[in-house]
Amino acid sequence: MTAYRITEADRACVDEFRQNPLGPYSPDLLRILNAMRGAPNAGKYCLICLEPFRRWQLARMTGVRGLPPVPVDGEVFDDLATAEWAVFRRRWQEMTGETLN
Amino acid sequence: MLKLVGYSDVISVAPGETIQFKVSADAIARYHASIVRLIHGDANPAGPGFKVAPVTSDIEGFYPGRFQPVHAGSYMVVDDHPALAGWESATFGCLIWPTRLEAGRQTLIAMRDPVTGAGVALEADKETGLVLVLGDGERVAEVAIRHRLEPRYWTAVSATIDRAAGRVRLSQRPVQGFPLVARPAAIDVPLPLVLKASRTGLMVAAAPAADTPATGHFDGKIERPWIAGDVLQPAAIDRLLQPGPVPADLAPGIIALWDFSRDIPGTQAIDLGPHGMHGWLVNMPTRAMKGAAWTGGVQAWTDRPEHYGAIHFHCDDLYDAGWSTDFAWTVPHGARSGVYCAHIRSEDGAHEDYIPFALRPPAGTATAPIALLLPTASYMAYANDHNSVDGQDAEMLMGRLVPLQPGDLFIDEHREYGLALYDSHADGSGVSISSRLRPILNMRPKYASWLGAMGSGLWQFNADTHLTDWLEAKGFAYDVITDEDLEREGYDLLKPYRAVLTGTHPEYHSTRMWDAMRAYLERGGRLMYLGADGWYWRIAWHREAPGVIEVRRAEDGIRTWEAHPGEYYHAFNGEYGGLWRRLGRPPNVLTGQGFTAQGFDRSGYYVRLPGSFDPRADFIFDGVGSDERIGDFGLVGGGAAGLELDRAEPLLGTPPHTLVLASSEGHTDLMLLVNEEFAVTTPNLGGSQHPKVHGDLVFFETAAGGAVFGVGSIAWCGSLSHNGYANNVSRITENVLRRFLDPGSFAPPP
Repeated sequence: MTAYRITEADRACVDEFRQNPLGPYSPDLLRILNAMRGAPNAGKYCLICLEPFRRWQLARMTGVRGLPPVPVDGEVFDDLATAEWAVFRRRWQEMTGETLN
Repeated sequence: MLKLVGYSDVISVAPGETIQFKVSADAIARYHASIVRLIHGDANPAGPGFKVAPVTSDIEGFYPGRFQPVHAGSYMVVDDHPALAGWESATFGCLIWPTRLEAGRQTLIAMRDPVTGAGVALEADKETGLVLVLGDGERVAEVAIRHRLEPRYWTAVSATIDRAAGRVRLSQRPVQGFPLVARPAAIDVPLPLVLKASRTGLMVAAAPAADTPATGHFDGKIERPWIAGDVLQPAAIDRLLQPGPVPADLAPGIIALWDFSRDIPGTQAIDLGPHGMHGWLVNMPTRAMKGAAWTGGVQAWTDRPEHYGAIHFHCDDLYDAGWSTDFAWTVPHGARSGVYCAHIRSEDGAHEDYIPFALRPPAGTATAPIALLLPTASYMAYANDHNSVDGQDAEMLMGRLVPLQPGDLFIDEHREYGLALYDSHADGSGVSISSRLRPILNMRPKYASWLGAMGSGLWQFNADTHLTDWLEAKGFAYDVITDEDLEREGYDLLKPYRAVLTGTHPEYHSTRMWDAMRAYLERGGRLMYLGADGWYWRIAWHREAPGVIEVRRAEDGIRTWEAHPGEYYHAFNGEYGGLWRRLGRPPNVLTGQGFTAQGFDRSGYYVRLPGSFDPRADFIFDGVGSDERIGDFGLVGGGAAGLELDRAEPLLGTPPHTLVLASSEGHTDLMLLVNEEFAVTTPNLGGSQHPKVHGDLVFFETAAGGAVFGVGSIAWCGSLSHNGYANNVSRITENVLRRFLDPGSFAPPP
């Protein structure tokens, strides 16, 4: 698990990500994203490509070889930026307890 | 889930030769097959789109579907021999270094009928230690030593069946003992049944199975398996396990002893016993592994092979899927060279696969002045890469969520399809061997890779179709040749060509391939290096087995695993492995550049440097404005400078007269300096800060009147098609190619 823990001061980075989910990111935001994106694979979010360049299903990896990712019901995206924001919100909630709107 | 997949027996075929296609159809009764010439494999709607040209062939038609399984897992097998079944009493054993005991029972040595259960099998278990399974053809009994085996330490194990005394003895003796956990253990119990011999031969690291080639695979190293037709005492066993010939006084009792330190590059395990029962090594386990006798006194197995008497077996090793051929195409004389595929498609159109191959000109001839050298060794290195789901860092490296394609999901679930040189085996050891004799689902048109940056997401094979598409769009006649052709034919393959074009990522080269390119350049050849991270790792091809490469990730470099100390020399040929840079042959010597940075999010662009205004470079920039940004567009990360970047570096051998024409900028902090570029960690390794994080566009003439042009970026070719192929990346590439095709010698610089 990464050593970095989100603090109150990081709240300012949320808007930066919301406005620009695909980056480039400020150093402060990148530090948060590294903590989110560098987490172990068990339960890690990923995208299953449903239609090339068009539609993606959110899923969670199992972290176990040979056990396929498990789709997250109802979370299908037709653009990658929306998917990134949706996952950011989930992770923020999991890591801080705060629900982002 | 994919239900129709295939592979071919060769990756490169010439007119007059035959290529065989092997297909597995999972619950698909019939499928259609045809040959297509692949022009552009990128299905991104932002680009020119997917393009193939149909090819009329005699294989076109419908074929019955059949399921063909893949059986992974390496082992040694010896065919049935009277001496293996004829003993009254026997002692047998080996040295083991287990790596995955937590997976459950694993077979060490089996002489056991999989149907009747007759015979014996010596097995390893994490908790109960050594177990002997015995069968009389009806009943099965087990004897367990009930003392744990220590993973990743050498232990001598043996079983004695003493029919005269009616006893069974098991012994496990750690080579290196540890108080409490790793100490000698033995058990001596009555023989539980009247043993009946098996006539199924002998296996090491697996057991014969009724419905598959083998089962019960062992993960880890095994050294010096042996069997004696006698009751041997511990002192005699210890002497048998010493490296070298069988002690003369013990030789008469030996049935077989396989010395894995003999003929390490081969595919056979040499039996020192009287019957010459050499074992076949199935699925290419890793040889030249340190054995129990290794002291650190030598680092090269070629110096003291007897210290490298171990073979590392893995449950997920795979060399040849061994499928039956479904259809074969004899390429007609006069067929045009190019990148081709067998296209197979289910009748309902729901499932399809493209099996790619190169149609090369007949050996010794060229049918165009341009050769595109497909980096098929590099395709093999990345073949069925699992890092999108196995690697914890993928999302962080990419800077976005990992997108999984149908092919990724398939190989995640079907581990038997084998691994890439970037993967780790199930036991955590690095994968050093990769073969193409299996479906490779990330070497496909339409495939987008997690490594391929935002946009098209292309990497390796499919990324190289950006170049074939551009050559077609521009009307250039070109031949396609492969790394495997270069390994076989050397410089003679390149000799007829005015210009040789690389793919986007020609990373893996054998010594012979390296020498061939140097010979080409020394004799006036012109090289367009249209990628980056080239000539990076040394590889070895196998002397007997076609279509398989080995890498030893020694010392340094961007790598997802490291070779263990003392195991830096290739088993296939005894050469020292690692980066060509570390071997004293940096890529800069050939191409003027070397790997400097990697990042998988978005790409930057180039700005012209003073070198581009040198009159020697006039032909390159004809039609390009002096202050134009070069390649601030493209399908790979949105720019021409991305994914992996090469930099000119005189200290690493970039020729002193090299013109550095342009350098890239606009990189994010996910574009990071490669680790061989620093010896001390500093806090400025990212693209927004580090001065060495940039790709260079370079040009230099060779002494023989040839020249080299290098783009310093894997993403370059992704920008060629922008704006209907009318853009400065396309213009520069075309300017250089047209001049390289002009037979007029390049004058050496003043």
